[in-house]
Amino acid sequence: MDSSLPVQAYVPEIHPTGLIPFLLLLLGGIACLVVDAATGKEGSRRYLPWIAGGTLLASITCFFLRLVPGEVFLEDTFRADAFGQLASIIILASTFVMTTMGPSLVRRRNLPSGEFYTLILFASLGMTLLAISNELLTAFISLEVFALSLYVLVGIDRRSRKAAEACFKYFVLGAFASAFLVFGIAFLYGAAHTTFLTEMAEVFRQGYVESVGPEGAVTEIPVNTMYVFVGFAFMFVGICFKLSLAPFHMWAPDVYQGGNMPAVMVVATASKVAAFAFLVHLVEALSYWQGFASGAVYIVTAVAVVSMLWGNLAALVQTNFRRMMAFSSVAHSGYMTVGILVLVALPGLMSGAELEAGQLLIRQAVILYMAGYTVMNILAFGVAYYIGGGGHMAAYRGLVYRRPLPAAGMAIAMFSLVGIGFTPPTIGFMGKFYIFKEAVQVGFVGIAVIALLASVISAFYYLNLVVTMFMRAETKPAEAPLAGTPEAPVQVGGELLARVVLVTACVLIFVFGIFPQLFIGLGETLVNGAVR
Amino acid sequence: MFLLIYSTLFALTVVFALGVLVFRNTVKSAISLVFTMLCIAANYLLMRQEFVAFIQVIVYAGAIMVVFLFVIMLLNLREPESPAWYLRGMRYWGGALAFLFFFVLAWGIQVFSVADLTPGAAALEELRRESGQAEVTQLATLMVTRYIVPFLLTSVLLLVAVIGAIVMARRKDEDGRDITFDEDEEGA
Amino acid sequence: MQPLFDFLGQFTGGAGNAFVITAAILKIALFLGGVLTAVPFIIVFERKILSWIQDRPGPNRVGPFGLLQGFMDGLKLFLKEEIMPKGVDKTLFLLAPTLVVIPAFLALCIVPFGPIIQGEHLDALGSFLGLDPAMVGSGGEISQVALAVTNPNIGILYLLAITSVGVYGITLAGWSSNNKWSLLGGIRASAQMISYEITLSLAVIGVVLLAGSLNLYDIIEGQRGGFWHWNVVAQPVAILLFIVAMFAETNRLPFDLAEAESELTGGFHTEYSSMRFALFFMSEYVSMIVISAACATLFLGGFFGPIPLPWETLMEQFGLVAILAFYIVGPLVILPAKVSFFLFLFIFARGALPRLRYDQLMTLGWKYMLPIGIINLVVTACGVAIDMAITRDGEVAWVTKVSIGAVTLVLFLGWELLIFSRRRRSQLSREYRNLYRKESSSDPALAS
Repeated sequence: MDSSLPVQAYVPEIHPTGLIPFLLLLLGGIACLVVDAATGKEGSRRYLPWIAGGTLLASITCFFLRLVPGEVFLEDTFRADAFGQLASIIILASTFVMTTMGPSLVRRRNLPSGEFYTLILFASLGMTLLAISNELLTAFISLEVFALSLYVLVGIDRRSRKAAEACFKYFVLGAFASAFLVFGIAFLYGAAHTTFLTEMAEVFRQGYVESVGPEGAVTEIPVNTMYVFVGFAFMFVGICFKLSLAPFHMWAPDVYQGGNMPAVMVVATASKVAAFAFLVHLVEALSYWQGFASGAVYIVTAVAVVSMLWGNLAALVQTNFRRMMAFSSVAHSGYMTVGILVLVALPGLMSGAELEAGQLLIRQAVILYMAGYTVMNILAFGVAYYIGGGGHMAAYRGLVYRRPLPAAGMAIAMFSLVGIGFTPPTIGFMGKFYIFKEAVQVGFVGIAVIALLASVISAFYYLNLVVTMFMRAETKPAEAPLAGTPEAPVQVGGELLARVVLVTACVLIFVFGIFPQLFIGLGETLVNGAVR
Repeated sequence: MFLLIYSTLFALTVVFALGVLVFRNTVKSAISLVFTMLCIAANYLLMRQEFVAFIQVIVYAGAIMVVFLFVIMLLNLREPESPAWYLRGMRYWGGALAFLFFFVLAWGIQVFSVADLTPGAAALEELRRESGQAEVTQLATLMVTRYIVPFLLTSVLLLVAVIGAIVMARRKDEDGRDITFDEDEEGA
Repeated sequence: MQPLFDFLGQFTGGAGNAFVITAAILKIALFLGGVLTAVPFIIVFERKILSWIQDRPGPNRVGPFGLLQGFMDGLKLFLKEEIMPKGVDKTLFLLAPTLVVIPAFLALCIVPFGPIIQGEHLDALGSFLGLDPAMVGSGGEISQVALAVTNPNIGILYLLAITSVGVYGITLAGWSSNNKWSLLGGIRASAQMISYEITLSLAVIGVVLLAGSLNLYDIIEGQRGGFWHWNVVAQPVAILLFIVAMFAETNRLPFDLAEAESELTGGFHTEYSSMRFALFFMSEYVSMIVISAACATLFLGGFFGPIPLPWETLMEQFGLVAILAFYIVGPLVILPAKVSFFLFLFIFARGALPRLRYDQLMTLGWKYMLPIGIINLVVTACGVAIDMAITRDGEVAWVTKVSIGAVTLVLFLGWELLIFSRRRRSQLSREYRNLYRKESSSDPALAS
């Protein structure tokens, strides 16, 4: 090798302000580690929530200040369109709620606070990067970053046997799924000769890869359909795991039941939002390949239908609140996958500006659904956490009489989660409405009917919980309260903040439920600026 | 001659990979895996990707598999217990699935003959000759320009992995008390 | 000699191919033969030096001054009965010694023992050997002949890769022997070698940064022109790390915990006898030679002498003789001298230092050498980056090298003297105090 080559001055195209929110998360995480090492146990418990929460809020603020450019940036590595930015904000909000739950959890279970908050910040970094990534390697590595963080966060309570079980199951199956993902990435790279989604879309649109051979001869290598399918199928399996879609949801009930509530809340909301945002970007790029829809529709349909039906049916028979929520999240992922289905089929039906408009509509529907799903789950898990109720349904008996406000919040969450039929003013309704509307318009009437049916089934178990909350408690006051039941003395700190967060969630359910355009308009404003 | 070397290597790779599955003895399985990794590295060498080849040896054969072996030896595994009834047929189902997968892949690859793949490799060779840059330089240039984000993110990933490993593996908490399982379980 | 290659070329597809193959076989034979012949002598010298350190005569019966002792020991091992203990895992038990030997010898072929012959030197040597200039010569088919068995672009990675694979033989030997001491030795070896490999690599990366290449010839070329250009000037801390790590990688005292005859009887090779034991023994010495040669190549200018001789004028005056001398003095005098220096270091350390405890070994590797290596690497990288930014010629100036060396050395010594030694001293004094207190309380005479 010739070492006397002139050093090339290559400056990559960087959009410096666009990186600020992510650099903040990274630096915040490192700051947490350093402060933890410097201040010791009590000090870190005092300061770290503020650092972590502050970092997350600052990061969200960066999005609102429109520091992140609305299109591809940093050598095309990121694509922060309205969809991606809204997804990032949802993710950061969800992890912020987790940090507000942090102090009480850390104190109650005597957790290592330095690692706890650091991992939250790194997880949110991974998730936001995944949500806006436009490049497969970045996507894979950021997915691994947040996945590893979440594995540990789920099992950070080392004194809990169930948490250990949850952590181990989540880790082993997650690692397995990651292998699928990266295998799929290899195939897609083989098909398109690029790892950048926008370039991939271009390659698929023209149908061949230009390869410069010896003596500068350009050969056109046709895209191998098999590679695209195998690649997509494997990547889809990998992402399905993160979304706990039906045949790959095995980990969900155990993790939801065993992990600590705040971590489970993030696993249920933020990690799914991130994976979903990436899936939407991926499917959009792949759907330009002419033969894609014909095969992929079957895969996606199967997964969506099985998830909706199995999730709801299995949730019916659960006697544990957390397991019920796990299956409910399986079902909700199924509903969202209907949106993906539409996205897959769309390029076969229309083209040009019409297609772009259609894709925009679906992205809006999906992001609205994700926002709604996140808010509802934050509310449900938040109430469950703050009333100190673990999984047992018995803990919710007569909750209305003991603590009416949390009970009301839970009821709102449950009504919104049902989402169809008799709960129009909630965001759960609007999300489903938009997605099903798109599905019907594209012609997936059967799927929409199945989804509606599944929603009707879901009403049984969601409303069953509401009914339970209205029942009189059977426990006699003389008996020593069970650990985990609401009677057990639970020191929950930060009550005020908790109330603020939960009330905000309640309000958001209705605000976005009544004015969904407000949320979608927010995304447009973030990207296009107030000028338009 | 070249074909002979290629096919021998491919055959060896497959044989060792099969060895990983067939051996009941975990140490032998692990050693088979080591040889599989070495064979894959040799395949890279035949494709003239020296850097990738030796990184493969260093990372997989030299580091990961040593830790594997280390753990196997420390655990001192015995013959596995017979699996539960619902897992008993899994071996055959898995085998069948693997063969199915093999044929799907083979079908996919035969559409794409080896000749189609060579332009890319040839272009790479051409590029290397023209620029006078070694493979390492090209890789490094890509890594710090177009792929800078994944490259830097990897360091975050490693940091997270280290933190996670410490959290999950430590025996004493911050107060210096042993970490043991609670008996009354509901968790948080 | 051309007719010979023309004849051979009939079977190999061209006289050029025949020449390349012959040259390769010759290089392998000479180098391998040299190293293998050296091993028994090294063993004798090791025993001699150890005996001098311990104030005893050492082996002096076989041959003059006991020089043939090594050969005779080898012969004895050949003729001894091979014992296969009961309950061993036969395949792995037989496989293990070969897995130790093969990497050791594979690593040998990367060592550059002499310069690349090219240009008019090649022409002159070619005509001396009676070769067709169209085949071997500056304008011919074969325009350069490297005096190394092979010269891949990623030379140093090859070395690291092969050393990292070497651990399997030892680990497997330990495991397959069905002996708890062997198993402990094997486990220790694997943990130790992967721990110190990191330090070894970190020490090497600094050198790679300075040379801007992974190729060993490029690395040596960057050290041309006298000992003040050697990498040891730029990387004084790295060479220290490298030397420590190389003791650990070869399982030599003070890091021979895998064998540790006082606690593990013989560690991983307890159950081995006869030829298989000889293989372990030999590969240990071969890998010592390899890693010494690597250290010399990376840090001490390889086959370049400490003082640059005026070869150009010598060649003008004496012609072919000077050219031959130029290509012979490196492989036959300079590199062996440097290797011998390191071998002496190995032996001397064995005589002078006690074996580390296992936790000390791990502490040293992870808590001291790894951070020092990282700091060294960061400083080197910064220095090279600054140099590149200023000169933009792709080469690191000598001034930069010296400054990098000075900065790393100052940082290292500062750390060593100010922090480490003070902490260590206080810890030692505490230990002594405790010891004294314990003794005085148990011994009435001392207590009074």
